Amino acid sequence: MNIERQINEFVLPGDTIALSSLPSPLDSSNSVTLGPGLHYDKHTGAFTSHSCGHIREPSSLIYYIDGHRPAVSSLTSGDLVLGIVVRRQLESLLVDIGYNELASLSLYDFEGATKRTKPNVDRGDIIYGRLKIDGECQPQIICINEDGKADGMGILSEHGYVFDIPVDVANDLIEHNNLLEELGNEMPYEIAIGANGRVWVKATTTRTMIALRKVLLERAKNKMDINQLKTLFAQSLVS
Amino acid sequence: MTETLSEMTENDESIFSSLHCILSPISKATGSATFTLNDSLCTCLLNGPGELRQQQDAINRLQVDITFQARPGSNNTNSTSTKDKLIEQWLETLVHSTVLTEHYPRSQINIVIYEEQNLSGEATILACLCNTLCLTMLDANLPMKYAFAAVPIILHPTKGLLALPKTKDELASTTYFVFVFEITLNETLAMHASGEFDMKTLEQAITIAKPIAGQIFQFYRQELEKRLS
Repeated sequence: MNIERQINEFVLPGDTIALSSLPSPLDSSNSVTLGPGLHYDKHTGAFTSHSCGHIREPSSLIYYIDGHRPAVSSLTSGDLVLGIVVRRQLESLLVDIGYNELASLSLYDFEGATKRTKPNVDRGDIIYGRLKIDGECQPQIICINEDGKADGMGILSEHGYVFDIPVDVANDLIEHNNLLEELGNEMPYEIAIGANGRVWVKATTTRTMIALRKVLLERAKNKMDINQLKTLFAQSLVS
Repeated sequence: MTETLSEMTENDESIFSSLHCILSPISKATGSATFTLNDSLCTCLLNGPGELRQQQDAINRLQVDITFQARPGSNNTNSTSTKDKLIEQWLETLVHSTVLTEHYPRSQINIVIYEEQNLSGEATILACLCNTLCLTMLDANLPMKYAFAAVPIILHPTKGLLALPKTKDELASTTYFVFVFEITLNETLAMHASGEFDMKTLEQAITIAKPIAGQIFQFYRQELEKRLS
């Protein structure tokens, strides 16, 4: 009954996966990294899956399960997120970041904010900030770095445009930004990508923003290389 | 017993013809599924994990809220409400034993499960509900310890034990079993039985149901993989 599944095969929760030829993850010299959906059972010494999808190995000794992920649940402390202000309270804001609950953002966590001068924020504003989650508390956002500087975070201009892309594509764009740089060489624009799958873009013309959105959504749907995407970008700028 | 086994092998090819499912029929929900088992049809939807609505004592794990909606206008309307509660409880224990509830502190999932068509008896509908629930959780991609599948078995007065019974056979019999198996070791996770039977029959029923559960898992794989590709 116990068939071990191989790399790139489809798994259901509870399936055992054949990674056992590898050194044990407890062996510190040659550590295995398990991404979302995978689990190592200490008692049986087996690798099991906790979700459904295909097993992937992006590089050696790194494994994860590539499945359909509808909800944002894998945010961790330190992720940059894009949120929408839902409510303003006396000294804090409640921000929707697509997490299971609203994140709170203290009004003092903006650059240059003091008791007298609070930033002018209202419902519907877009916030770019760093997430802080510890344990079983409400998630928090801060818009300053350790030196008290904004560092690109804060309230984003209302002349931008916000849309959603899949979470894994967003993380990929944050890690490898050569596509964004290439596009920037052709047309100047501003972009903020949140680890929660939200993207904010701003450019001088509406057409550029629409073209950017088209390229990013195309990037999410099909695995096209940079040159194809650049041609698509150029085409959408004209037509 | 030999008769029963030959029945089962006859059924082997037709198992897939009695199963049918649609994944994500409801686009607004996190996960949803519609599952058909012979003449029974259920739809289930799952929302969450979201904010904990009421202040409950489940601050360190996931709160599970299940609502079962029986088809309005079924024959035994008066007795259903208590039965519904029993079904809800049964499904809730299934969710608690499979989902890794510790991964979601201070959150809650809402599951609503509808009985849309039920021409045959209780065995088929119970199994159908369990399978719909499992497919919905797989569709929502909740982290689970294992997938599960339910198999209905009836004790027919003349034909003996039948797995995945046809409506006609089910209405003719009074004894039924529903077994829920998990995918890892293929062991029984839950069971429900009603009517007159002895232990020997129960054990026989389990041995008949086990390979069928394996086929249902194969069906799950097919359907879920189709969606991802």
